[in-house]
Formats: sequence, C-alpha cells, structure tokens
Amino acid sequence: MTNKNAQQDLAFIKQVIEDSRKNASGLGDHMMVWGIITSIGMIVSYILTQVQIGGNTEWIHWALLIAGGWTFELIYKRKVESKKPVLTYADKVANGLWCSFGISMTILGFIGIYTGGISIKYLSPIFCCLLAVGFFTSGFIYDAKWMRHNAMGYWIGALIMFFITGTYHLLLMAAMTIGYMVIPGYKMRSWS
Amino acid sequence: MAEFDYQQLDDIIHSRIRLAIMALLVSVESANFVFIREKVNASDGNLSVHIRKLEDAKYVSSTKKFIDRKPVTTFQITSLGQKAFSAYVDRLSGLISGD
Repeated sequence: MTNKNAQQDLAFIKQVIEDSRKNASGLGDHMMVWGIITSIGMIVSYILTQVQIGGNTEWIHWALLIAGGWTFELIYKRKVESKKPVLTYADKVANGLWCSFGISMTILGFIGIYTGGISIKYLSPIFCCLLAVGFFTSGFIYDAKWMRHNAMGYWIGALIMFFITGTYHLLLMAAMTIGYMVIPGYKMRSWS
Repeated sequence: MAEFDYQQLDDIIHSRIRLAIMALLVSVESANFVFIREKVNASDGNLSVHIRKLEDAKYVSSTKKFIDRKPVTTFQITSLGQKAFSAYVDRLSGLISGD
C-alpha cells in the first residue's frame, strides 16, 4: 500500500461520512406542518381581534390546531419515522431539540397565558426567540447556513414585535412563519 | 512512492466495500440493507457477504423486523466496531504522516 492509496482511503471515508450526515429529510415535514399550524393560528387570531366575537374564545382554535399538530407527530412517528431507511445522529439530536421546543411552546402558550404569567401581547416575540434558538442550533447540526439566517430573521422579528402596537405582530408572525418554516420545510423534503 | 506495511491495518476493514460500510455506519445511528446497498453501490449478494464478515467480527450488529409485512434488516455499528474503525483511521493517518 502506498501513501497515495492511504490518502485516497481517508478521503473516501470522509466523503462517505459527509454524505451520510446529509440524510436529514424528516425535519422538513415537521417544519411544514407546524409552520402551517402557526400561520393559520396567527391569522385566525388576528381575524378574531378584528371581528370581536366576545367571550373568552381566542384559545379554542389554538387548542384544536395544537392538538392536531401533536396528533400528526404521533402518527408520523408510527407510520413514517419507523420506516425510514436510515436514522442519522443529526436527525436524532434535531428531533430531540424540536420536540423539547414544541413542549416548551405548548406550556408557554397555554399554561403561561392561562395563569397570566405571560402577556398574550408578548407571546409572538417569545416564540420568535425560541424558534431562533431552534434554527440556530439546527443550522450547526445540519451544517445549513440558511437555518442560521432564519434564526437571525426570527431574532430581528422578535425585536420588532416587542415594539409593535396593536395586533399586527400576529400578521408579521404568520408571514415570518410561512417564509422561515413552511417554504424551507417544503424544500427540505428533497434532501433525502 | 513509499510503501507501507499493510499488515498494520485491520484486515476485516481493509477492503473497499467493508471500509465503505463501516464509514457509513459510523456516521449514522442505524441504516437498513437497501440504504447501505445504494450508498456503497454493491449487489445484494456482494453486500451480504461483506456485512456477514463484519457481523462475524462483531463490528456490526443487525436487527430484523417486519415493515408492511416485508422483512427489513437494520444494521448498527457496535462499540467494538467503532473502536476498530477509529484505530484503522488512526493507523492510516499515521502511515501517511510516517509515524
């Protein structure tokens, strides 16, 4: 065996490892579904603030949407994830990260608002900050620069939302979610 | 061109296809037979022979399950396999640097 052969073997090993790490398509499905849920929720919330139905009904659509999201997660885990041909370490870490993120959001969104611990006005910027953490970390896990750019976008969005008066932050959050979650999530589905 | 003593390298791993299988499995949690076959570009028979060799050396373990009534075999690298692969890469790097 020559030095050249050894170098070729090392280059080959590096290539195989790098190719394998790029097999991360599952996250795209989750991003799309939760992005659509969040966008619909934000738009419905905005409409409800405009038509002023009355009564404490603002949370009902969120409860239905979030319950739908978690149902999707359960079905997805059983029907899709168990059939995936490969499970990468990146997928495993990202799944854990986003699952913990989803639980935190659900607690903050429902229990935080119910107890009055969090003002509904500041829920969108708080979610933006949490989403930014998720995207920033995922950007390093998958070595995807665009995810880190999404995180920057969410942090800037959060700064703007803290200063916006009225309910326009709901529309801004919906637009950002479509731009930063639904569209990239759709594109990510072709990663595999 | 400098020659190396190939006997310093682990015989089990030192084959292009087994090296590819090990490199693939070391970088993922688990992978099924079809995925590995596509990635290493091998025929069913060829891949079976090489994976069996790695399993016999306890470098790789397998799990069989049924998905949609079809048998699916999933492979994982063992801790012994990880150590062997790491030692192989270290040895290869050492040979290049002349250590």
